[in-house]
Amino acid sequence: MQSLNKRKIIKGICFVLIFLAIFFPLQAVFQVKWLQREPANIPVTASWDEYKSLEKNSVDVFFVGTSHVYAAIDPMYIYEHSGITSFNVTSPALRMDVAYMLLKEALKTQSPKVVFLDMSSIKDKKQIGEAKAHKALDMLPISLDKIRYAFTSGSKGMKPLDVLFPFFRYHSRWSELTRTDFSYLIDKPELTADRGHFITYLTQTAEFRFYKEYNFNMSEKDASYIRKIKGLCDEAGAELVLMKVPTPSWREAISRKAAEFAETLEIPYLELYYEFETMGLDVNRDFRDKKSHMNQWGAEKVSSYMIAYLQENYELEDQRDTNERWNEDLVKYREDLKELYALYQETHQEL
Amino acid sequence: MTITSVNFMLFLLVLFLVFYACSVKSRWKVLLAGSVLFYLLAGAKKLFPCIVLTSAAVWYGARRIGALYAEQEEKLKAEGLDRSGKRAIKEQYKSRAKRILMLTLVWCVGILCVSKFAKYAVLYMDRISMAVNGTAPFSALKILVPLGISYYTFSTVGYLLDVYWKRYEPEKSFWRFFLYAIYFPHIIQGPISRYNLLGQELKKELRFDSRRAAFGMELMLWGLFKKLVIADRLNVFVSAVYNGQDQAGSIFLIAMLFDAFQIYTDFSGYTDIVRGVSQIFGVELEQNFNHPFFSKTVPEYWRRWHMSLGSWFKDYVYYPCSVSHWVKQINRKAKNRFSERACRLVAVIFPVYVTWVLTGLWHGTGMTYLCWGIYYGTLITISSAFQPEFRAMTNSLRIRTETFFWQLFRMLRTFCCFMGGRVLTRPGSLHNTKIIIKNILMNLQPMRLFDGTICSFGLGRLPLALIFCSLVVLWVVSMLQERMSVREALEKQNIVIRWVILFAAIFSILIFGVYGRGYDVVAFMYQAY
Repeated sequence: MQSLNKRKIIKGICFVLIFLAIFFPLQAVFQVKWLQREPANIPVTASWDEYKSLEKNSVDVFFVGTSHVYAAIDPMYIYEHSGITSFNVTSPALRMDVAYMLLKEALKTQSPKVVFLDMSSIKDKKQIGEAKAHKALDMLPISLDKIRYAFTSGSKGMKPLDVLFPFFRYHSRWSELTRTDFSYLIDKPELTADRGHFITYLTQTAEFRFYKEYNFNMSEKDASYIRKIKGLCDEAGAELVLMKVPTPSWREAISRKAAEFAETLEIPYLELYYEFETMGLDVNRDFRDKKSHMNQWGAEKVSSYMIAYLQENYELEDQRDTNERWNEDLVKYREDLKELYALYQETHQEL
Repeated sequence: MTITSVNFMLFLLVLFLVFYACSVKSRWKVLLAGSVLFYLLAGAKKLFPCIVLTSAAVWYGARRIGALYAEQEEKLKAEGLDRSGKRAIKEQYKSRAKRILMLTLVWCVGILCVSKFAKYAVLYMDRISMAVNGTAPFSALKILVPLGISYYTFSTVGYLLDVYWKRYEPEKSFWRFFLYAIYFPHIIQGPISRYNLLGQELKKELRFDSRRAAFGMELMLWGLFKKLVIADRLNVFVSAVYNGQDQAGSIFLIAMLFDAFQIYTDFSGYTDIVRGVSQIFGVELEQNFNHPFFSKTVPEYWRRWHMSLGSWFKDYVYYPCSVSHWVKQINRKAKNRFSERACRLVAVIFPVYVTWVLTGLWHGTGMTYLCWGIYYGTLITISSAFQPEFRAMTNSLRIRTETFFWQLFRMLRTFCCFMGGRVLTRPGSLHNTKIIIKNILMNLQPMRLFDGTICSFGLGRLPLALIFCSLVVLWVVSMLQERMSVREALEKQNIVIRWVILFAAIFSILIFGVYGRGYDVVAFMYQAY
């Protein structure tokens, strides 16, 4: 009787294991893969693949934040002109809770000396939209943080099961699967060399709106996650710097609150909004949309400023003579830039 | 909480663990608590008292009737009673029992009728108010219907009648009876279980049996496949066609065909899921479907479709109606005027029509359902009344009735009759039915089936191909089920084959199932009754 029960238990365990062995690869096939540059967003999957391919502990600076960060900071430009290695750990509309999870995951393979955390997202009290949430969350493995997020997030229409197992969100893709969905499992496509930066030469005049009188209270949730991010950085031996990338449309009260909060945490706060003129930013040329996202020209100006800031405040190694991988990628990156610029000129002339 | 949701699966898992963690004697109490919890989670909480009141009334009514019968037996045993004295006692107690029966019936059927007809009362009150002062104040009233009211009312009323007819003794424990009424696998969509079957099942020692539990899970899988892969995908097409503009007749024909399979896979899928769930807890629920699309006649079809409803109406409406005083009187009068065959026909017509009109009204309260009832009443009357003529016709045409193609023709004929019934109710109104029939007859446009139009109703080529493949699987499995127990046959297979089939079933549901974000949750079609 006992051996019979034992056999049944073993059979049960085997059944579950086989199920999982089929389920997870299947999930990887069905998951949406953001591999191509979209008009407004970075290909997050490709960017994350690129991040994972980097040599361990080879990145000195992280820029964590929303689309404003991946539009405004160009890590390859920083490398080209200073030899400092950096990476944009970003995702569209990234909220602090997801930023915490992303950074935690990123710190598993890299130990940066400085982490810049952009404060753009604290202005939004509403939870991140479902599609954007998936972009960030699908890259992360199941963890306690992810489970907590799954059951507490307020993303409209997002179910806990969809967060933890994206298969249940994407199973309806069975009729639109492509060869890439399958081949991605074994053979990843050619890696990008953007370091999480979104390159575009599209230009649109940004709206200059500055709200001086505006009360703002940072949510307790955001505050607690920034504290948690500070804890992560302390553990990893990195210095956390709160920052605000320059955007023509901004509310002064938010910057004030962010600066106050940085002071309570005894960490620096880098307000780039007031450096608009110092950087030479031009609302007619350096932005790609009305929402204050920068294009490549704007990104180069902000990145130049960041080089100066980093060189002035931190002793970061110039790796241009020693880092083969980054030098190789720099060549590819320049080619990409040329290609995209040519494309821009082509469309520009057509227009 | 629908029974195809993740929440239900979690509920089931927790209930399963608690159920088998408790002692055998107290397991029925776990089922009762679980059923109440399910009822509160799945339906309108405010209407929970309705099921309690109906169950309490029936239980009390049956107990009182039982007590009267016991008292009558005591009195009949008394010495010195002659035949007329005994008859007088019997009549006295019968009339007292009948009074209790009628009171309880009025109470239970009253609640059912109020919940079913309240919307019409509101509609008419609004019309009157509109005519008098130009406002419609009642339209804002939200009429809620207690979850599973038709099912639990029929189950409990059946029990009451059986006690009245002395088929069995009344249940002593209210909680045991309440469990029978509210038992969660059958509360939403049946089967309409009989007390002598389900009540006794719930009373036996409910012990864990891994083989039965595995069978239960397999049945659940099959039900989920039918509901999520076939029915809910077909619903996309059928709803798009019926909710849209005027379509070509050929498109309506396809929608009618798909609708027939949708309602079958939806309802039988539900039944398989709940029977599987119940088996996991050691309780057998009655079979509700027996491959109705293999039926060769309409009466046979109704013996295979929603079997528990059919047998309920047969036992509690048709038979009592056939032997009622009225029918006997009609019969007597007919005997004097018509032939013997005509007399038999008259004796059949009345109970058949009463039964089918009531069956129609059970399904829905509009004119469409009344017509639906009359439609089936007429079909069944014709098929039984003109049987000799039909037989003579096949003989004179020298049709070999034992051939496969003749049997196939009869199945298709029955299927078409079923589609005819559906086209009366599914489009929502008789006006829409008229448009559909008109388009089928006058505006068929068969080429629409091949020019890509068919892919413009929410399902592209691949989903349509998937439907076709799923229906083939359904047909093959149904054929096998007609010949053997598929689960037992599967059990005898080598573990590799068994697991390959099980994993194929699981993953085909997970991949091709219509669930989650991007798809609307489709309520079970019979849930509304």
